[in-house]
Amino acid sequence: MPAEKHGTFGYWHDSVFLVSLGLYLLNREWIKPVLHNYSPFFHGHLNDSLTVPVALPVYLLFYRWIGLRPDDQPPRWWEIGCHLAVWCFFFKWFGPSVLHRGVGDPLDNWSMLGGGIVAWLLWQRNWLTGLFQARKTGPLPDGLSKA
Amino acid sequence: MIPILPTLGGAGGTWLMLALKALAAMGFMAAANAVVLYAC
Repeated sequence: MPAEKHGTFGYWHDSVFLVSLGLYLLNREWIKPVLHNYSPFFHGHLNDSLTVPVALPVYLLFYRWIGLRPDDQPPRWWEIGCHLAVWCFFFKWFGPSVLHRGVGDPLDNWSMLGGGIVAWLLWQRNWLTGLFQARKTGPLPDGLSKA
Repeated sequence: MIPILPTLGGAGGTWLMLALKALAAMGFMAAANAVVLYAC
């Protein structure tokens, strides 16, 4: 990994990653073992929705180490999108159909997508906040004046 | 002299390095996906 840091993203010590990892471990170690019946949420959708916030920082850290990722900015929408495409294909088609491992439930893809969108919003919160602030304080369109 | 070595310094070397990094990324992704599939 390059010595200089070019961005604010913390990878393995990012708050979104750590909270999501905590939720995953909580579900795996304490919630699922005490459930007597199958719960679609705790046995499936929760883990799927945590895929992006837990897995992506690890992948991006590796890309940064080998020099493929040029900076340390929070994950971009296209980085999330490319990985989501691969994971949907791998975990929901290749795994169940070819490796006979996992379940190919279409709702899982939506869970992964939802988790990815929420994670992107949280990772980009500074940029989004700045964008809204600029809209509020920026120049108004022609013919309008501030009240 | 190995014929490939002169290309490593120029634009060919840049592309070769990029290709190697992309290959490493794909290898990592395949391995990590397999770990997630079997362990999680």
